[in-house]
Amino acid sequence: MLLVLVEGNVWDEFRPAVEAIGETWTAPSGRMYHLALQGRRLEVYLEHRGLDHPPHHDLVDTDLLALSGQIYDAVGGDWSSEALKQTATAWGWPV
Amino acid sequence: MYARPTLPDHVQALFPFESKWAQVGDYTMHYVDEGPRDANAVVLLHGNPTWSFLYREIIPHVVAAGFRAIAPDYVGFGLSDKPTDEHVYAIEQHVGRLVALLDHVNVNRAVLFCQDWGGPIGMGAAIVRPRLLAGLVLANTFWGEASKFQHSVPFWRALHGPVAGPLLLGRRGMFVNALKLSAPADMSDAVWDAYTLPFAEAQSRMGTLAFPRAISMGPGHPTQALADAILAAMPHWDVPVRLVWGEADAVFPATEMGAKFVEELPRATIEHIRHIPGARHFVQEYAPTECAQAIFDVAEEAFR
Repeated sequence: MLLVLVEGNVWDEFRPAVEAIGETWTAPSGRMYHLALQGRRLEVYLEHRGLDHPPHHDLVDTDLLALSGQIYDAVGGDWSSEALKQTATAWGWPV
Repeated sequence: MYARPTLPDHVQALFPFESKWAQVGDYTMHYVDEGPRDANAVVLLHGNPTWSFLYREIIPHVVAAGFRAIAPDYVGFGLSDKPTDEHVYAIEQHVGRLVALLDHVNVNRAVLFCQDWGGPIGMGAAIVRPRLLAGLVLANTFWGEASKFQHSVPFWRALHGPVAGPLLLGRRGMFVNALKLSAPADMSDAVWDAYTLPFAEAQSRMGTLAFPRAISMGPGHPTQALADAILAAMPHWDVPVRLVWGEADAVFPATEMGAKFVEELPRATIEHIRHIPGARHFVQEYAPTECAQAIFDVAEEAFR
């Protein structure tokens, strides 16, 4: 497995949304990720066999954006995957 | 800990100052200290995601006028150490390290030039060391509480929320890349290299993520106590003040943040705001001469 993201500060209001996803998550691309939440620290691992080429980082980023969006939608209120996409685009990543 | 970058020659040519280093707590801080050691001091404080390079065209003016110019890189920025733990970047820790650095260089009184996070950090240091503050130059800065822009989820809060934050600001480096949205359009490749090189790797960008998260969104936020302390202290700061403000800054507009400083600081007036038309957030890149003049105006009163 390949560590692709570390979040050291899962805010309290986000914790239920992260916990609801569970320990494995399949991206719309079909790639599978493992989530390890301990306290406020979340580590996200890409399931990846050692001898394979890892996917291009842009593909992983697109998956992680989908994961973030799913969490934002679950938190609700002003937080949403749509707001996240608008933000990413406004700050230079057209998604 | 992310390894410290080395400046390539084409960047070093734009930054012809002797790099100095201080061990502050567990970390090594880089700083510039130019001019006579016994001269009146001007402390130049940067924000996110810049470093002392931001003052490269101001430092020579300050030194030529006979002052001592000190420009630190906060931990997590420029050539200073870049730990990967977010808690290291709490604003009170930045304040504590600045105070320790000023003690290290034996500066106990200075004019502070504060831009962006330089405001809360510099003014926080003035609270810790009440005799420090001889005068203030404020430039596109704030006191630690969110502006109206920063309260919006689209375009700001979504940028640094859990999981999205390490993705957008860490892996994608979007805050660093967004410098292009806040600096002059004709910024040269070498200047761009200078700003991006310290954040070349995802693990070097924790400081750029921690700063937006440290903006107080209201009561209970870790930075709110400092913001409250600054707001309480400002009416008592009987020191000369000037403001230099990029008019095209959407995050910290003069009409909101500049006006608040004028309201709170007894010696600041509307006439003391020097508006820089067309300039965005990093006003030092647009108007170094005007920034230097504001320093001289304050220093003339402060060190009379």
